Amino acid sequence: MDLLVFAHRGEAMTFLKELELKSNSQYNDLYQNGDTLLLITKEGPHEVLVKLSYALGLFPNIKRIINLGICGSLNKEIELESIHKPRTIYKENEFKSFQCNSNENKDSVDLITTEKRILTEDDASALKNFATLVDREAHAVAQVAKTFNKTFEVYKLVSDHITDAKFCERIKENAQLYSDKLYDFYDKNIQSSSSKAEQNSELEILRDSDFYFSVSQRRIFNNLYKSLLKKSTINNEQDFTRVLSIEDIKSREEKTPKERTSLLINNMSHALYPFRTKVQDSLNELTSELRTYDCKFKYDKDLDKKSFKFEAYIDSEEKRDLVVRTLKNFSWQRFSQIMDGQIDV
Amino acid sequence: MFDKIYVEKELTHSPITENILKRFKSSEVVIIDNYEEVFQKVKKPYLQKRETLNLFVAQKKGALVKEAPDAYGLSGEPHYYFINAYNCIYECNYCYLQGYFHSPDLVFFINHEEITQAIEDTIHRHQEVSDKGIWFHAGEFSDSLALSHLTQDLESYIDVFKRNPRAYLEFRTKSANTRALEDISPLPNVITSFSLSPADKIKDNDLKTPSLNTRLAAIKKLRDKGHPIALHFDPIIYTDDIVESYEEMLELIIETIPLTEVEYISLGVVRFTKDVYKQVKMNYPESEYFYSELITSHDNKVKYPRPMRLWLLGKIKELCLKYGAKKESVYLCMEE
Repeated sequence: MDLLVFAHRGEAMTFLKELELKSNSQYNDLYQNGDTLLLITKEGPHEVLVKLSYALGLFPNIKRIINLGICGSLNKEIELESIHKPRTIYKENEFKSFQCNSNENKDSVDLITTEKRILTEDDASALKNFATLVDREAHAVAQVAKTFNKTFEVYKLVSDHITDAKFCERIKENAQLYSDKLYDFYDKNIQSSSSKAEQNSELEILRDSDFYFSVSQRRIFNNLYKSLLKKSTINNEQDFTRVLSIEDIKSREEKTPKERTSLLINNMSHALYPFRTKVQDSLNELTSELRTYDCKFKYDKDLDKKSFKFEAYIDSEEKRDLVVRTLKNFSWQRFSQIMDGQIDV
Repeated sequence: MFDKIYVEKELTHSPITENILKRFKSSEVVIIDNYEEVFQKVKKPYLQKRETLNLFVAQKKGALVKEAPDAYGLSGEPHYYFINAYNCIYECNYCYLQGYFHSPDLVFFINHEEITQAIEDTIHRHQEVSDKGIWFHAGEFSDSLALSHLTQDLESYIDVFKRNPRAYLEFRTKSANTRALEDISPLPNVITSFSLSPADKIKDNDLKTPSLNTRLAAIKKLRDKGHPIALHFDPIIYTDDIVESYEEMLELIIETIPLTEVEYISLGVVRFTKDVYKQVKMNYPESEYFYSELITSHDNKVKYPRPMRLWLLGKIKELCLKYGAKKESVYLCMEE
């Protein structure tokens, strides 16, 4: 069992979503899905010591503790947004240091954990003697892990070079980006080999430069791909390429790689959910005029409720009249028929 | 078949108990005061029924007859079900029983006199205030016929309906075990409803049940003896060739029994409560539901989207009519 430890919810947000973690009823700051746990400690070593110890008490089967989060760099040559696995972890005014358990891919940079935020060059200068990276939690994570005799690993994304600049707001603004990058790194490098095997990263299309997969697109792609494989029509990547018209999508030069990925995902949904697709196509056809005049027509995404929401932006009398006229011409009868399953399948 | 047979102390000398114990001589027999001392005391995994299945011979206490949910049967008349057993020997991968009890072990409630009395009391209460018919269903928590040769209870239930011709009894089954019923004189108000699906769906989903052909042979036997027959097409599961596969099944059915002779045909589309869906996912992770078009609906049930459900029901109803069913004999089960 793995326990992922984050200081802030912002750093963890992509993990919570992608790993489909649910709050633990016994401990509000702890989230779980199967063999993966995630703990949000809040900032600082004291918070980590208390919360991590409590979590380990609740789940004695935890084998590996992985601390992920952002850190500052005391060295301006270290690239922003790069991710590091520190070699040794120190603590401000503390003799004891810890080494990460694994020897694989260890960086040659060290990290120091501090009691308070390091915001100025003055604060930073004393620390430069010991480490390159600065954070607020890793040493405490290591200390608890050692006490409970658990394996631990630390991965830090460099969010800033420590200067006098007010970077806290910037970090907040970039929280989603940092979380995405950390998740991406975790997904490719840290997840256990068993769960990695379930991913489809070996598929050529995921490495194809004609496509770009964001974290959420990759998740959707993986889920759809797994389901499609279970449908007998697609048995291998050749079938996949043919059934989903991948060569056609690739030839769409006017589209960006990300847009091509959207088209691909769309084709996968059509192949997997043919009935739903037909209903959606019928609804789209019925509402095409309504949507012409900047109007939004929204129906239940699960197609389960016989109702819709209509939203219009009106900035003139003419526009009002146009929208009213169009809405009046909208066929509720046909909408009702579609929702009652009266369509050609 | 049974690892252990638990018998309530008061029932040890019952002829039904003796008959059961005679048939399963190799099972260990344990005498207990009350089946609830053991049944559901711990959570026994559903699929453990494959290795160690126990049987409880017990008396049903509390409510013996219950009102059925809306849209359970033909509309316009009240529907009830009675409880004479818990759990089933079959293993349909969509079955709600896997999420209902905390144990797959079978319980036979053999206090049939009390149960039949409760049915008769309900009939009398109804007839005091209404001229309409009243329906009773067996098999809400078990298959009505699958083990009827062991439970030996059909006759006592049928007797109630011989005395009450305006009341109706439905046995709902997937089995072909018609032995007990064949020896009983048919009654127009006692109907055997066979759950049917296309042959490949039975193979994929109705695990350990008789095949379509075997069920059809059972229908023929009962029909030839004059027993009223109903059909239950539930769960309907969408496939690209659903029309063809139901046409194929209906062709086989009408070779066995013309649809004009069928009392009624009930239709239901595959659906799950969220808890049952979780259980299905755990027990049968490779089953087709998990890559189908099912959604979690606003009523918290896992089912097909509304247009799809209604299309399926409409299409299968249309096919039934095409193959000779009377319009008023086809109804939608558990659908608003």
